Amino acid sequence: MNLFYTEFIKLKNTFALWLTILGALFVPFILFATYLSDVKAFIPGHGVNPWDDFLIRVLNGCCFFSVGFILLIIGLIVHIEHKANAWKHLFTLSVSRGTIYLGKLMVVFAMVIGFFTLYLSLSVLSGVTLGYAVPGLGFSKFPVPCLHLFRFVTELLIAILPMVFLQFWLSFRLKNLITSLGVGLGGLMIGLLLKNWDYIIYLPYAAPFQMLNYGESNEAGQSIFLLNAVYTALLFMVSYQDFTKKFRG
Amino acid sequence: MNNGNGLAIETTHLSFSFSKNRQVVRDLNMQIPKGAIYGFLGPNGAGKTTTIRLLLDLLPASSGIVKVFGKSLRDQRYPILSRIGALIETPSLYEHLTGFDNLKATANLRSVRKGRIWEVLDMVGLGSEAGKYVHHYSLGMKQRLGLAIALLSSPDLLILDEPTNGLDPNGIIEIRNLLQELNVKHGVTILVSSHLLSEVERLVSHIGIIGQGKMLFQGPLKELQQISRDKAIIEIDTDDNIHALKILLEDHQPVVKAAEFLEVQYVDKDRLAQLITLLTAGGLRVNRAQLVESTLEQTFLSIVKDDYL
Repeated sequence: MNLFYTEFIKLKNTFALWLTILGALFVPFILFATYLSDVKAFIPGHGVNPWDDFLIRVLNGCCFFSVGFILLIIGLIVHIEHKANAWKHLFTLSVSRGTIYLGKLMVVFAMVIGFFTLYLSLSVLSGVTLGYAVPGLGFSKFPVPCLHLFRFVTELLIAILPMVFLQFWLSFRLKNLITSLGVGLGGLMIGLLLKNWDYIIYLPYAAPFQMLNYGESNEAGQSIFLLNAVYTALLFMVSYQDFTKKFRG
Repeated sequence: MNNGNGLAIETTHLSFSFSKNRQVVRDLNMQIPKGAIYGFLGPNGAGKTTTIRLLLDLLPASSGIVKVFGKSLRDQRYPILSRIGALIETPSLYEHLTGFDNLKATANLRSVRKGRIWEVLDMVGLGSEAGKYVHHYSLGMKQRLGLAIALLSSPDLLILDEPTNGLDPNGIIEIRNLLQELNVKHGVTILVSSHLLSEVERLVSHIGIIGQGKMLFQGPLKELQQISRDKAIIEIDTDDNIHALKILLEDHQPVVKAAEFLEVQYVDKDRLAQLITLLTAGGLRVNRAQLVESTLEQTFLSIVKDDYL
């Protein structure tokens, strides 16, 4: 717990902290402004739930933008140590390397989960506010589909696990933040451009784009979950071994 | 130099190479007695920092054993590291945080109480600068903060790699006094590396000189001072140096003839007076008899130079 707390001390005054807040604010704010600026275009037909259309936009925005933010957040969290030349200092303390690895990883997940929570909460808040501000948009007539959101965020988190582990590994191995980000963004570009290719599911960076246009009927194939589980376990083991046995900082 | 029980650090045949053709540390046997201030000297690239990294388990040794306080570093890494404070090369500082937060980050990891943070800040003279962001610190202040971080856990052994880098003369004196105080009052064993003997000469009790990865000299400072004294000579110039050489050789003096004067190994003042009397009694006029001492720095340089030749 001490290590976890210490990692948060290190995040004080950093862009990573602001990125989590501003990144989570960006899409909900744009959507809110778009709905307000052209209300007529968004008034739903009789009996149509406006949340369906709204959430498609929110969740697609999450698939597109969140992954970029996550890469940046991971890079910034790990880069703090590279910039301070602090690995050698950490490794001379009577704390095991495994604990250091897990502490850093826990902070990454805390930030990622914090980002998703903030993003989806702000999205729902903007929908609810729109419902009060412009009753014609119909948001207040229907309940917030919380279960749908929860299902989505759980599946997205599972889908991006291999990407998070891979990027985390790259970030501590590559001292230059731009290099590790470049590799990650390259992976995302390939994942997006070849989104419909049969074998793209084997690229960890492609996983979030497989969840575009997420609806009630979406059923993530069991084989994809299995693949993710294998990738996650493999990348965790390899990166952990590398960090604890070979990494010199 | 000392028995095994009295050693803070002991390495046996320690070797390390980055590649097959690049051996950086060769068969190094280092012995640092408990309570000593050990000056680890050598020119740039001699292997000082690599040796220090091996002592802290930051690099895996190709062969050899490292023992700290009699325990094997390989087998008891964490208990050993908990007794060591280290500053390696440039201090590891988070520049976006204040000096206090930098200390707090390490204090949390070492389970050090908050009050100790203020103690070490005062010790290095940064008490009033604790709330300042580190990116506003001067090089000397950063070095002091690095030292404060090393002192946080009240270590029994302090390993400092060129700790006076970037410090002005006043700062160097303050750090020297602080280290002496830690050593005398708290019995902290200190390993301090430098490439300049003059920097550590007034601080250390023991010296280790490394060159090209090999230990060239190791022992108490007094031993090095003795070597230095042994190298002292008397330069003698008379009105007839050839005759003077003959007189001195007949008297079994260790004498050599240089181009313009004679050189006799210096033993003590009495011998100097005796030589002058001898030459005067032989009918010679002594124009000059000068004692030429080798400084400690020159002795150090000659040890290092001999290795490179």
